[in-house]
Amino acid sequence: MSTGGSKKPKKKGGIGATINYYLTLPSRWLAERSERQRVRRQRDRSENIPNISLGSRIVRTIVWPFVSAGELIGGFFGGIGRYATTRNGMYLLQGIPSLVVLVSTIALAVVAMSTKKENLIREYKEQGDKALKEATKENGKISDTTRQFLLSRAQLCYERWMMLDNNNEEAKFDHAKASFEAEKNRKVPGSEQQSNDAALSEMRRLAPHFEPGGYKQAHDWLADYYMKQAGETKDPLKQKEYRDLAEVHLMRVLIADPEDTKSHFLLANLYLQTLHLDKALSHLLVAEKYDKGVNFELARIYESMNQPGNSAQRAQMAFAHIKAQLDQNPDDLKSRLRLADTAVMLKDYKTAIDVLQDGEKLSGGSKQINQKWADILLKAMLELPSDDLAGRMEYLDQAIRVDQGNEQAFRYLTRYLRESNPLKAVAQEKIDEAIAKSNSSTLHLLLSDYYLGNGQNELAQKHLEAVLRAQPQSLPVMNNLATVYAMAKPTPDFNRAMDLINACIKFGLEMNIAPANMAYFYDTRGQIFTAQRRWAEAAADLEKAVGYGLSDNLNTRNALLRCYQELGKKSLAEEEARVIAQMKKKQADAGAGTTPTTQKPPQG
Amino acid sequence: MATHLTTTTQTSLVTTDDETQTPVPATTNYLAVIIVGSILLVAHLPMLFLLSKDLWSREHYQFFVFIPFAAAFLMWEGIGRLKGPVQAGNQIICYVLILISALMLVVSSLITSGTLAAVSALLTLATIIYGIGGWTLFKELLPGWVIFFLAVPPPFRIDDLLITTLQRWVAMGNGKILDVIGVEHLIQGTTVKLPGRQLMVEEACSGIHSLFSSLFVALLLSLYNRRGVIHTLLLMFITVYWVLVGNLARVLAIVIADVKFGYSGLAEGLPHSMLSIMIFLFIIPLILSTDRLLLFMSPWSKRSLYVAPSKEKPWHTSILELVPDLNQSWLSSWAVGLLFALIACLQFWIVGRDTLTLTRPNIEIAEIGVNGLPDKLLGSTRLGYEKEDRTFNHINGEHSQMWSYAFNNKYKGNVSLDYTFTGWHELTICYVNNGWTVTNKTIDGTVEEGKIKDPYLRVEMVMPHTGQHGYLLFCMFDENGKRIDPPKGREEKLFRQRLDNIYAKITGKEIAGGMTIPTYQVQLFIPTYGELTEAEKTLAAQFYRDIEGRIQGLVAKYKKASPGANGEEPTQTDSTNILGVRP
Repeated sequence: MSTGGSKKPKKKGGIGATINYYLTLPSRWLAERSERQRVRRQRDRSENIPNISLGSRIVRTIVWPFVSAGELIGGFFGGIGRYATTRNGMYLLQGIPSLVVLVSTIALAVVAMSTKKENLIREYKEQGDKALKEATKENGKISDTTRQFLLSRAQLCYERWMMLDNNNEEAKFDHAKASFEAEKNRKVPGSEQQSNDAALSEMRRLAPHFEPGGYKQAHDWLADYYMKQAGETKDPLKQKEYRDLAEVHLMRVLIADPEDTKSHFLLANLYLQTLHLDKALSHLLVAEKYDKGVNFELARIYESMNQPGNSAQRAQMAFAHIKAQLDQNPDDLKSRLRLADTAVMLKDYKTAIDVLQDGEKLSGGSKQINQKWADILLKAMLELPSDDLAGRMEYLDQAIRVDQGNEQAFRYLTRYLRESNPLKAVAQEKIDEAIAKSNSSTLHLLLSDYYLGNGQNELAQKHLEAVLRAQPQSLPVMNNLATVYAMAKPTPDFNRAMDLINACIKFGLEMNIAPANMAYFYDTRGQIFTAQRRWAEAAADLEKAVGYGLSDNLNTRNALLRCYQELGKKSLAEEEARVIAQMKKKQADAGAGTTPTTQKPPQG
Repeated sequence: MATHLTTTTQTSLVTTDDETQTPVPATTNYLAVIIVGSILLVAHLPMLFLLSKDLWSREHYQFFVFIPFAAAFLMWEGIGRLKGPVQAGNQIICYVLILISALMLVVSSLITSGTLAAVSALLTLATIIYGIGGWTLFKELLPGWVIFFLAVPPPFRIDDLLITTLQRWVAMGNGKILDVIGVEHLIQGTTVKLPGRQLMVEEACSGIHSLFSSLFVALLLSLYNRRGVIHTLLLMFITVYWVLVGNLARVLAIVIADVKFGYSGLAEGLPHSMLSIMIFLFIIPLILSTDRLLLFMSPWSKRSLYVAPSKEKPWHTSILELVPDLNQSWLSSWAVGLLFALIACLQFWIVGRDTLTLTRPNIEIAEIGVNGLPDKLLGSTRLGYEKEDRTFNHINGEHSQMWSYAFNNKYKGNVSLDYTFTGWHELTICYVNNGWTVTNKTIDGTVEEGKIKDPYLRVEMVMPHTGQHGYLLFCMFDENGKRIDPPKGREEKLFRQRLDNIYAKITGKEIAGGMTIPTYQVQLFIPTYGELTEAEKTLAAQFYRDIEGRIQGLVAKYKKASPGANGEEPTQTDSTNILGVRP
């Protein structure tokens, strides 16, 4: 049996030979080159160059470079052509695409790697600042979508900056700020608290309130945030908690940097809120050394401390300072409003109004200017003697003209309605005029409150219906109007009342509003059922109202007691009666009743 | 030595045209060879079938269907190079090799290892080739045999690790290039974030699919042209580079289309598939060109190692003339036939059930709805619910049902039921590819008799640049509700867990997981800015155990009414009960 099999040419070398080939490549190339040169020199020496004339030599000298260049180019391409017909040449030609891509990608990688980190950081910081500034600009006429895009851009830029410079606290602070603004702008019901928590956690990590140190600007930001929170909540315990937190943050900054103007300024404002005027004054006086802009706050403090002389002096200084600022930048709305406030402090209402008028001309009509203008007119009105009714009415009229929806002005008007002097007639006239002119829902609502208080249900109904036409899904209005229909005399309109309150509850559930607010709507429907003697349905609604937050409301409890009694639920009725007795005792002890809210309609 | 199935054994000398006398078999008993060969094939088939299903479930391995054709082509081409009949290989070596192969096959089926089964099959194939034609034949058929190795998945899912790591490299490179061209961006893992949107989220944990297909092309080219080892290795190495460049171009094209032209469609769906195909078609010419460039740079480029097949009339008229007397080879051995017949029975006993279906089923569960999980649980309040459907074999599972909770009424926690996967799904890879860094990973569960029962993974992560913390708890279970053991560590996984499986198989217990069994994943993820306290972590674990039990219950309940083996539609009553909705 033969061994058979294929016979191949013996393969030379292996890995060692390959390495050797590449190592000896330069020396071999040099050797081959010198050999070629030697052969050329030998050939030149052996060639017999004929004698030629001078003219020919000159012509040849001139023409020679062109001829040589042509030969060279022709030779080059001819060489390539000849080379391409060889196997190696073909390999090279076919390999060129990969070589080109390889070299290009490596070159690109080199360029990319050589990008300086510092330049990137600067670029991302600038872009982030620009986007954040644009998004949070006051008076910025941009849509919510654009603002959201700008804020997410700012977030991204700051996050990249954090990635490039991981320990940079400024980047982290800016990122937290942008995240906070972005979440605030997003306005997703139910998620705001969560999202803000994320941004706040980031900020709290930068400036922990329970340990020294931390990033100064984050402390200031948190203090400012807590002060705003304290201003927004109505719970005194929460207010105290927020103000305490703000104070701790500001103190942390001042321990690290006792001359930090902003922290002194914020702390003074905090003490102003808590009426610690002495402390506020001392901090403002420190802040004054570094920033003359605090004179306005100083004037307010002296005014509160009943030191009119000091107050006026500071107000004068503040006026001069703010005016100078405004002269430099007439578009600065914040300074303009502040200047008007300073003028008011100096009782110079005319100047205040002039300042605002100038602002209106420049801005072409700003809501903030009109509101401030109306407020100043109302303040000026109160400066008039109480018997100068015509003068007061004139100011009121002007305030309503300047700011057609000014709630305060309407309140004054409805207040004058309650008085029994000739002003009532004038007020009524102005009200009719305002309604004819602006048909303001606010005014209708105030009037409905006024008429309900006076027991003039028909007029109240008229105004509530007007509001409902303007705001068809206003739940408080629907609720109040349903009550009015149910209380109508001589015949209550239960059908319309029930339709309205059912719609109100339906919208409330769809809008996922807070159970504490839904409690009022269930209460109203429960009361209507009670009036209709539909005890079981009434009990169900009233139980919901109690469960959702009206457990301290005596009206609701009494209605529920009545339902249980009518339904024969003795044990429940007894329990309800016991709770009501306790509540009455408690109220008698405290000397105060339940606190109605603005959404609660007056009950019959 | 084994007994042979020899009935008539004669050889004769055949005279060739060139007067060379070559002995070839004349009266081989092909029936015996066919019987033993069939037994060998049948013994290997169940595990190979399971392996095929497993490979098909991995998108980057789906090219494996081309491998048998490529191998057949290369082998046919190799046979054409033979100059004369071949001589059988050493019988002792053959028996040793086939015994090793048999052992590997048994072990592979007991521990359900596709890798080992594939190696066993390749060893059997090598033994057959060597047994028939010795080294001469084996050398000629080597390219066809070698290319089969591309269908052998590496153990411990190293392939997943490789392709996802490469994808992270691509993302990093992409970030550098976007810096050069001035596009504001942020690279988190493999995700590209642009102002107001994110790209490449879908495939954050999918890796680079074209890597293995491109390597297949490069290897096939090298083997067909009989390039040297260095040339082949260099070509494959550069191919990896081309794959990276191609993917870089793909991601860059998506970002530029989005940023410069406002077209975000390239990131998903058909346009994205078309783009990927175009990139792959761009890589193939580059591989061909690189092969030529390497030839140019080769010191032996001036001569060819390729020997063109002779245009003369072949020396043999039938392929059977190539082989010697098979009656003398191990292929007609009764003992081998019997051994592999036993192994075949074992195979069908162990994995027979899994081979009934061609592909893993895509499990459908009706929309459980927001009320599937309680609105208040252990101090946490439910916020919302969402269902998401994806394509078959999607890396994140085909479906997800997600509930969000205000965990401890403080942090937002996301609970998710994701399905369907095949075996274990390493969820941490997805999070790492989204920019998270794992700081701690432990296996937790109920400890009974020193063993962890119903294990789940607790993973602590951080987002380094933002300082955000992530707390992840997840587990996998199969359609019978059996828990899939998480890989504890390579050694433990290989020995302890699989030995347990062998024991369970011998004692007739059901085994969770396996190569192609559909699985579900339940996860709880809580991202926070400050790290969770120990008390909060314990609460999270309690919360997770509670939720996980409820979800398993929901899945199991549905299964009873699902269109499964009996093909019945779920009834309204069943759905109502599952969903917890009032009738």
